[in-house]
Amino acid sequence: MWVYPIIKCTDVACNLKCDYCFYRYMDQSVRPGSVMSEEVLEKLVQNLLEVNRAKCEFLWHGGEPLLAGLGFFKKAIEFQGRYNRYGTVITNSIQTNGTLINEAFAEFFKQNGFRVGISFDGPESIHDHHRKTVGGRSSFHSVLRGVKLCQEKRIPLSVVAVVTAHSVQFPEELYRFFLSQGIKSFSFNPAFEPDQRGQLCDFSVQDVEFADFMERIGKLWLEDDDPDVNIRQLSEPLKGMLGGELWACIYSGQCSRFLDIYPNGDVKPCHSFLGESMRLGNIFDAPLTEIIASETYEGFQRHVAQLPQDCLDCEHFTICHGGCTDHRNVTVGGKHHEKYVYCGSRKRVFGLLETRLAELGVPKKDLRRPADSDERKPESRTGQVPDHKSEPELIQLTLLTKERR
Amino acid sequence: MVPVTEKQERQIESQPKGLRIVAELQRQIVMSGEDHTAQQIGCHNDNSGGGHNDN
Repeated sequence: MWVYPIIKCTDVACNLKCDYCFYRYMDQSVRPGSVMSEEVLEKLVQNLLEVNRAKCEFLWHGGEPLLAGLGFFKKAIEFQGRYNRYGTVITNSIQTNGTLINEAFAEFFKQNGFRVGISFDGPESIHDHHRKTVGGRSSFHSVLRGVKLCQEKRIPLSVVAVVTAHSVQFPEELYRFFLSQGIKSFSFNPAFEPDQRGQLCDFSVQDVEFADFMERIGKLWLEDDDPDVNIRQLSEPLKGMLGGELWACIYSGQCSRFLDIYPNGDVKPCHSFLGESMRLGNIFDAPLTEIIASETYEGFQRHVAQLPQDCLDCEHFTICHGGCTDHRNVTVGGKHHEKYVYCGSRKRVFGLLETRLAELGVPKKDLRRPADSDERKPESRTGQVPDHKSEPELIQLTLLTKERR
Repeated sequence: MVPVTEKQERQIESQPKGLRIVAELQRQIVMSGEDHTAQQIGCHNDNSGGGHNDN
């Protein structure tokens, strides 16, 4: 049993004030207790290395995690070395707004093998439409400086772009912009956010808009056919169709394994759903090994596993798993969404990919289907989440085999 | 990436586009060398590879 920790080392504290942030109603200033203490950090590292003994990934997150300071991350590396008793393969990733990346941080990331994810919405006019500083100024150039510092040091870099009601109009501009900046790994995450009255926020993207957007991006990506370009909403399902393992929480059906860890040691499900009400435990009250064996955690797993019958019967189930748990079975603006709110977008993308695979000689019948997987029914009925398969079921592509040396 | 010969390059060019991408994903699957990044988090709301709206 592994878990994927999302370490919110600065809680919600941030130096930006993006108007679509789901923390926008909260006090995001750095205040006492908002940065994880050394005591909590040490305990957390010990706990995680007990749970994930073969491989342990640390995702540093916030708020803005770099507000914790370089010393915090140096301590984290020190603790990882000190408590690695099982020869665990340790990796570190950080998701940052990029504005605080300086030479010292970049060098540290380089020296310690960090993978860096930067929140970057695209060209200046699109990025600054929502992502502004606390004082309401542009953040574009400081983000771009962070990107360039990482690139200069050849640090593995990916970008997350939030697609809003504004940016959804510019798929080609976004795609070309990232490539022009040498960014080859990116993700387009649609904004879907209710306001405090339960109405859909103006910046949110409708399913049909996002479908058009992703279809355009998909066609550009396939036509460019650059194998170094990785776009999560395309690469992940395509990999799944080819029999590969799905890792992203919104495709794998494993979102219950992604846990938020807070500066006080609290362990909670992904903050994107269930609000603040569901606390699984605290690492000072019980070790993480006990927390994830608890009835509370099992109940959470069952909640995640509850899916509409339409999803269970869907031909794309094994590469979708019902999408994001937070974005299904929700009522927004008086409309109830039983299925994932971007179900239509996904089906459009899956169709695009299947069609192209068929043109390449891989018929639809040979792609991954629900019948190929024994994980489907047990997961949906009992809430038991199976381990990843150790042997991926590969489609035999004679064409590709022939092309290889 | 696997280098291809000139002849193979011509064969690829004659195919519908997307073959190189598919071949690379196949290679990653075979190697089990999936390049995980913070993008594993996929929800809309964290900008942490998944979400849209913090940071």
